[in-house]
Amino acid sequence: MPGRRFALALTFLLCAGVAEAAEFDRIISVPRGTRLDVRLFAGEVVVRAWDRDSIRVRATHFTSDEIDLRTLGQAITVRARARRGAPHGIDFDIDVPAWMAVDVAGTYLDIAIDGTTANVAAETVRGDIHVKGGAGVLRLKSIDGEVVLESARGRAELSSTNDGIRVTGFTGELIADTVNGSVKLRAIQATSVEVGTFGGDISWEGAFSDDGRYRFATHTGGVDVSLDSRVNATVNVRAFEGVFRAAFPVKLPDEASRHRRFSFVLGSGSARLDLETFGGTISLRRPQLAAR
Amino acid sequence: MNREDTRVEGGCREDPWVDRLSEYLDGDLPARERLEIEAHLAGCAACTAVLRELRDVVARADRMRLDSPPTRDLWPGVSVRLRRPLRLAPWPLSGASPLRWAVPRLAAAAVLVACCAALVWVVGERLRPASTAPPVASAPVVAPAPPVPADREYETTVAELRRVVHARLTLDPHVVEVLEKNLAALDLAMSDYQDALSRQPGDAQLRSRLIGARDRKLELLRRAVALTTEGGN
Repeated sequence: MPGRRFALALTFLLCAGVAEAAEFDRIISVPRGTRLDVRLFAGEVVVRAWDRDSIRVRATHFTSDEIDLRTLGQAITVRARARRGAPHGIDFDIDVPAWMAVDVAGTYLDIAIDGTTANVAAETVRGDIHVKGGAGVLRLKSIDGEVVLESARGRAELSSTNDGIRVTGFTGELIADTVNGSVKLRAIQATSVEVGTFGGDISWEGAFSDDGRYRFATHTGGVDVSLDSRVNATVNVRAFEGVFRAAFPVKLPDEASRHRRFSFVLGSGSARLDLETFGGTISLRRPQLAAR
Repeated sequence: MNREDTRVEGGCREDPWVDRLSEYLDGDLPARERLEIEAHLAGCAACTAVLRELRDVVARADRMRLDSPPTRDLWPGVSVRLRRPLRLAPWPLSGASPLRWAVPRLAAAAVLVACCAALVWVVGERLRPASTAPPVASAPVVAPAPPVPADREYETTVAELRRVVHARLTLDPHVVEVLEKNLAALDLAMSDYQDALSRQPGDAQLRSRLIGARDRKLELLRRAVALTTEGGN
């Protein structure tokens, strides 16, 4: 949890010996349709779904910090600030109704959201994002931290920059991009997938829908795709200066190896699968042979 | 080899040649295929039309040099908004969010990106073949070869955004280092694409990748600016 480590170090340096600890614990009833909006500088935010139509916010902080929890229109907002001096890292535990949409953002913030069944947005500069559950639009973005999504459905837009993205057990539409990280996708049932990275690898284990569109593109990394023998897809390969290989027989066009740009059809060819690397290796495998 | 469920086609299953036009235009086809496609073009109006449009795009792209000066100077507007005094600080309890604060400053940069994206879309729509061929197979040929935004304007915007991020992250050189590392990775990718484009100037896919990398770099800096904060706390 890089965001939390940084926040704790920062807090220690800035506050050692000058502030006392205080507890914040408040519960607010919320009508359906209310969303949670959290904006913090540093620390950790853990949001868990519970079976009540109310929200509980707990935090341990310095007495010099001020926590503000209020209702603003259709939103419950959580903010914090230091009354004097530099801002501190604060850890929050927040319980929300499962139906509540959650939006959390911060600079040095680790974010964990568990069990909700609504839209989720989480964004941080330095910190990990881990979301389990969620349905609808899921936007998770970290510049320096890992983005992990589990057991979710809907439309996911995931972005990291310096770290990886992992998705396990997702149904819906998926967009994932990073610069230097790798993207690992497991147990995916999606009709539309677009994955891009520049310096990382891409690996896929999942079902290809007959009418789906899938695009995996990396610059220097590899693309590892497991393809069931019953898949119906037109596969478009562009390897630029890279390499293509398949662990099962595929008939390639003449001159394919020279041009490194070719297509072939599996089954009826109804789905579209675009695989692209500039300098890496594109590997096709059967599921049982896929790299774990 | 399972030859029953795998077969090779040129891409578009209705017209196997349409997917090879880009390679034909690039001069990438072997002599035999080149002769075959020329014979096909003599009798196929649809492919001839697509080839004509591809040639137009390449010609337009060649006219729009990467180092061409901007047709309109947008920088003063960007510069004024970006040069406000900066202080490292978290977000305030009340008032507009920093994301909202960042919007005016980045408006001009966003306009650039939006214009570029719109151009990509418009050109792409124009080049989409009217046939019933599945879009699956047609993309490599019909992908637009959009112009690259004027370098000077782009680089100035990137430099200013970079300066803002550095100013706001003085307490955390690690994040600055991370940003620079990733910007360097994007620069490397762009350099590779430009190098490849110099050998294959008509390659729409390469050009699209180049623009994608440039957009990603700008977007990374914009996000860093939006997520780090300014003003009091």
